[in-house]
Amino acid sequence: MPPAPRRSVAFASTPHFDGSLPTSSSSSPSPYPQTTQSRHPSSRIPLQGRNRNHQHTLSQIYSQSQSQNRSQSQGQSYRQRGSESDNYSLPDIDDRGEDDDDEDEDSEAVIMAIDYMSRKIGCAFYSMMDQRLSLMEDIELPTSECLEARELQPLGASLCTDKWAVKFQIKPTVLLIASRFNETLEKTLNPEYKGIHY
Amino acid sequence: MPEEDEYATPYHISIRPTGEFSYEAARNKLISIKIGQADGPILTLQTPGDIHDIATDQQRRGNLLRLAGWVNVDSKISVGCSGAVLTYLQRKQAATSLTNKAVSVAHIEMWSMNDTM
Repeated sequence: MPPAPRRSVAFASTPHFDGSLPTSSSSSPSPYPQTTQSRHPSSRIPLQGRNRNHQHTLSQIYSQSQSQNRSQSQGQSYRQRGSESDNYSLPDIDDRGEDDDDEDEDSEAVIMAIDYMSRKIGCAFYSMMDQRLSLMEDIELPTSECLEARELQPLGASLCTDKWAVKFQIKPTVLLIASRFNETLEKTLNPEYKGIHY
Repeated sequence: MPEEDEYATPYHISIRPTGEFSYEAARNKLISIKIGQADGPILTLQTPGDIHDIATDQQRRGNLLRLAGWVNVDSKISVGCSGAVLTYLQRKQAATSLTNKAVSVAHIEMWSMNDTM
């Protein structure tokens, strides 16, 4: 098999923890420092507002791992996470840099893979939070809007009520796409294009 | 990069080789997860043909049967996607092994979009 192209598109912002780590991006060995830095700190205010209860649970988990010597406020523990990620920098293992950008910020990460083959769409995602691997039934005869709805609907739903916000959490932080169809999908997943439907 | 509107999803896109989405490999990975193996019933599926190689093959089939109880193994695209996700997790595990933070799968489920629309 020929080596497949690996790219980090990262047009939208990376997981919103990164927004609070202005110091780590300068010293981390990330091969994509620009994409990490080009996100806007202002963008994480609506994100945090949207994921408020999500973050609450996360900070609990995180404070468990840190409880031996520190019990501090939420903002401070985020900063610790930033310094920690510096210690974890492993340039020798880091041969797939785009996946290791935010290695330690992802205890709430949702890794989602989506594939489209012979007029069927399939999807699976894994939530770090509850260690759950979820598979979706294949959807037959999809259109490009179908893909888009998968991305959009949880976000739209999370704006409604708390019940919805808890229930529909495919807000992937990492999205894996098969290399066989990058072009069309990229266009579909472009955030600028998304705005049309709202 | 445009300024972010409210609906922009923050995520990385990683384009993976198609081989990671292969159905067979993904199914084997799912089988090897062995959820509920400790306290669940032990399944063996015996058919007249397979007297030989009882130890491994039957175990594998039992696990496959068990897996089919959780997920629809026929939705091949999704199963392939789960393979890509598991590959990602394994790679992440390898890269962060110094931190001893286990990335393991504790639950497998089917998920549907029924209620989201």
